[in-house]
Amino acid sequence: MTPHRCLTLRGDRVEQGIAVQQHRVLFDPRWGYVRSNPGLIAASPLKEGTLEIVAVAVTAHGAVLQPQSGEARRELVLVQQYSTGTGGKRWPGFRVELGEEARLLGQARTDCGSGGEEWFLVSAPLGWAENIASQFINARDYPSQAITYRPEGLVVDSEFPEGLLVAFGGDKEKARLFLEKVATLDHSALDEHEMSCGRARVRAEVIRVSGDCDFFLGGDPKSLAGFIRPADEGLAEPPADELDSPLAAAFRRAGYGN
Amino acid sequence: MKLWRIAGPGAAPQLVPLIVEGEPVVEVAIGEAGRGRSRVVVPIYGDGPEIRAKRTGDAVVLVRGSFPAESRCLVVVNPVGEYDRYRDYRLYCPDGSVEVLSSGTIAFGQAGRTNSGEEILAVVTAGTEFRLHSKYASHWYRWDGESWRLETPEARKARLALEAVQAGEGEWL
Repeated sequence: MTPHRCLTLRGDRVEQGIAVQQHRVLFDPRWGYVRSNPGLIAASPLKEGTLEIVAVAVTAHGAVLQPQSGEARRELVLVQQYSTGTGGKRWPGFRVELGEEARLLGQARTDCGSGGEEWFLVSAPLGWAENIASQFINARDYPSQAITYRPEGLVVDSEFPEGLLVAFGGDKEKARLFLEKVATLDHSALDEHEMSCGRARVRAEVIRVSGDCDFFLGGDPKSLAGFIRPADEGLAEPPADELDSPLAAAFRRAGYGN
Repeated sequence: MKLWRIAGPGAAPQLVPLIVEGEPVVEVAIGEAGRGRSRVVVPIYGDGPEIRAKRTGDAVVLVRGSFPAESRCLVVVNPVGEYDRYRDYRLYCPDGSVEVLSSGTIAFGQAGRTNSGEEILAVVTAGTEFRLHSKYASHWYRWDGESWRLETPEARKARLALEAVQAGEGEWL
């Protein structure tokens, strides 16, 4: 028996333990709802509570999670996949593509309602859940993501900064086009004060200098203002105060807040 | 034997009282009356806490008396429930003995020409189980000789998985 550490993975969050109710792993979706039989994720001799370390038995009827003690050598992850519904449709959905490293043990799903969820239980190597969670970008207007386990740690898209992709809703083509425009822009002609103002004045200033009415390609000028800099300054994320409102930045300069 | 009734898929089995408001119940009706339907009335006569079924030619009567208690039971099962265009209204996966004594028909629509199903009066032996489908979900019914157990497929699978592990079956990861 291999001791498994129980984890619950939902988007970019990993929590310790797996909840059990009525001898079954609890299926409690937030999107969609259950009208038919959702399916059995796993059973446990524990009637109610939270499982921490378990041994896993696979039977013809489903997996059984036996509470155990000892040092974990694998992870048992309850993956809570979801697609958002009414009230949250601008937020990305979360899906995981299982590879050979993970073994599927049981699953349950919603069957109606707005949005939907599919939970499944996998036995995976240690660090699997954190690896998946670190790749998920949970930002508004960012597209839904299907994430695969990357053991070598290549978890960040090195081509574009995350903030730039978020500003374009994950559209890499727009991000690339925007950077091309930035590279040809005459930065010395930009008024520094105008660039630190609100989004309307930032937009007007950039359009005045570039002559391009669609310079921001539908992205938020205020979010993108930090990326408008000469090419030799690199592509790192802009400092936080460049992305803040002018009022917040002014307060910070005055010594209020962090 | 006792007489039970399952009013529809997902409904908990109820013991049918043999005396209502001081008066003995004299019949049990199965199915419904109307076009495309059939209603069958099974008479109950005699006096006593137990009940047995007796065939009289093509018909069946229920006889009350002080018979020895049995592990079998009589049950009226309505597998129809609410209307569902694509559902087959019947008992699914019967495992054990379900001896149908009589049946009536329940249908939908004024002409009763949409799909219909049979409400049955049956004798079941201890350990018999079957499944009923409602419009969306399904439920397992099991007669254990004294009472009925109603389970969702998930609860049943969990119980069977735990029993399998206790019996030493399964593969440990």
